[in-house]
Amino acid sequence: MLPWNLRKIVHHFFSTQEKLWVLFLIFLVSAGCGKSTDEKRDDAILSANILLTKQQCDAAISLLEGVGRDVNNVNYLKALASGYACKGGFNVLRFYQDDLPFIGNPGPMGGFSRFGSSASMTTPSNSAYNNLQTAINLLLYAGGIPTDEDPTPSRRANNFTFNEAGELNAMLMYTILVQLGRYIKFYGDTNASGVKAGGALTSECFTDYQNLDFAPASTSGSQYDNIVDFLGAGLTGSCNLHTDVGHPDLGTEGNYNIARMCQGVILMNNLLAIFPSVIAGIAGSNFANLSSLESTLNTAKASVETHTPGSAAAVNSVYSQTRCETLNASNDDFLQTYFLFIMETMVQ
Amino acid sequence: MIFRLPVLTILFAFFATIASAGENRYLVRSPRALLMGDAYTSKAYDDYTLFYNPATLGRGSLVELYPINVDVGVTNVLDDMDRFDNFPKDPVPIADRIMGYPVYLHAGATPGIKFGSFGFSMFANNSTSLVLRNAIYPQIDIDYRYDRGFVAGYAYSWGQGGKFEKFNPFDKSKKKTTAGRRTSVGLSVKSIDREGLKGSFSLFGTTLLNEINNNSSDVGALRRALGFSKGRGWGVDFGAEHIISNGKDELAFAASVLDIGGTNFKKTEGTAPVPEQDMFMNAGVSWRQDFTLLDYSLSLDLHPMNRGLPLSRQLRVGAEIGLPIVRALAGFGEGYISYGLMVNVWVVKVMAGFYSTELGTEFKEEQGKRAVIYLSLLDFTFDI
Repeated sequence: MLPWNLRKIVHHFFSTQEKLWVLFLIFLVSAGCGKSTDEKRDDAILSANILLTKQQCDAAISLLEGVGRDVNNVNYLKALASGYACKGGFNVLRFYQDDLPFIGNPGPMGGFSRFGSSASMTTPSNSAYNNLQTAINLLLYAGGIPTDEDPTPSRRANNFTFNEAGELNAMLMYTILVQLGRYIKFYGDTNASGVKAGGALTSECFTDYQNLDFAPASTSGSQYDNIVDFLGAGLTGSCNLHTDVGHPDLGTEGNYNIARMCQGVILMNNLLAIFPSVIAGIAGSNFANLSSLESTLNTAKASVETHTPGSAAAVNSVYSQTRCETLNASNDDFLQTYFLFIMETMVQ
Repeated sequence: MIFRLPVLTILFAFFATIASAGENRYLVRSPRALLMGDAYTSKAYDDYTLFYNPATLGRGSLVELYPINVDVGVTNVLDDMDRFDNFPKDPVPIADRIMGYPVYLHAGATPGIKFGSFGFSMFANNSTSLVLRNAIYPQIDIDYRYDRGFVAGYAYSWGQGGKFEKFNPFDKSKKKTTAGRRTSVGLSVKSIDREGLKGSFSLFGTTLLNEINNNSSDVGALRRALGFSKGRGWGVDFGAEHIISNGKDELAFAASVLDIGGTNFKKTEGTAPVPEQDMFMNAGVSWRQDFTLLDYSLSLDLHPMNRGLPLSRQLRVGAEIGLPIVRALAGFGEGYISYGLMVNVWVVKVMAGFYSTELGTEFKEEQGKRAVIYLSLLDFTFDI
């Protein structure tokens, strides 16, 4: 109720028509429209990108998670992945400026361990590593790919336009490169120059190896009879004897930590699946050293299958962490062979 | 009776889509309004009437000509000069330096004529807005628009209050106005030819890099690949105004709905949709007093009211004080201060000032600092 004198003033100075006018304006003012979920999500994406400009990672994540995940919206996924990558210590500008020159220095992949954030991983459950992995998983499984299916580029392409899928793959390439740098630095115990087993630990290899017999040369074309034979070939750096030990967090002979070994496999396989198409569209020679890795890695993968047949299905073409753990839960031969021919040879 | 049309308009507007986040992209803004916090819905009786509220044409009983008026808007670099000291040459340090710095370029002209309660205006507006956001994985947000077209409107009035009745070449706001009360409703129709490109691209993503590599020598092909498109559309505005005036003092209430339902464009070129002209619902009230040699006005607006924005982002307050030849303008809109000066010497009117606009979604989330310069030549008003 209006005070008496105010009511008198209104009554005296304003006609009925004018009072209706004021009511109409009040109606307009109170008639603010609500927003749909999509509009709220668009707002959240914009606000999150503004927050990420100031590197306010948690606020950006909270905002985006608050409106509900949209696995089919590339801008949403890029913003949310950026939020987790921010918490995970990733920054693509730093990658271009500081990390890129280390690719191939030393080669083939030892230089990855020299990236700026590689040394940040000090335990397997490192929070920066886990947050960056969350970002990677958001992008890998974009479009709602179930986590127990392989998130291949072709599967992602089914759910997005060509450009959208390309955008997801590009961000994946950068984040996986940085994450793989951490994995190699931690489990390979590299030194500041990117040389394996030069760190604080006493390990010489990524992991311990059983003296696994390879498929007979007569039927498969294997060059080596068993793991010891290959370790002596001078292709694996400091890891050259059966007695050499691996990183304790990857387990021991017969008692491997399958989940952690699979993390390395999944990072490596997804990187190889993605980077050739991404760097094909990037001008200049920034990624020249990465480009040459494609054939090296494919050759190494072929050797894994040649020496331990069945590896193609069990590890080489597996892109899902869940699948990798399931397929290798009762038989670690494929993982051992993969680590021997790929991890130990790529990082020496 | 007179309230049927506005109520129907508002009801129709409720069913229209709310625009996406970010800066409110009006078709045309008056530089004078921008320097008054854009609190202008009940004061838009200059050359920008048809872009604010067609009902304001109800003030007219004169012939008004605005043959040459241009305005240029740019980012207010004066407020951020440190950013450009020792500017780097390499791409990554450049990206670091311009992160979160909105770049804005605008040029426009709106020549027009008013004949009593009828108004016609042409317009050509070119504006580009760029901002690099997200320091983790930078996104460049591009919003380019080039609009050309015309708008014609008419206002029907009941009563005689607040109508201009005497020609004063120095300043339109000092024209004498009639005493009494008046209600006007106005409708305008416009045709817009729009070229536009709106998108968010990852600076290190494949879309931008691929298109640059593939179309490095053909700018047209590059912008088409990024989503440039052209189209034509027709839009409708509605407004209402009520004035209580004693000739020198004036209280005005106004409301308008611009681009009712949102103006869509029929695409004539490109593959991406032509950026829609969003609907904006506005309401305002203003008070003006004229002491012949000195006048002042205060205005308050709420807009846009249909985008679900917080009230703090809709609130706009403006003030102006005028002496012969010079007027000072100031305002507060979307949480930011604006100010400027206007000099009006016979057939030349010049205005300059600074204002800010909100580029984010929330109140004071991301400030776009801008400067505007306006020049009008041969602006004449005659008694009918």
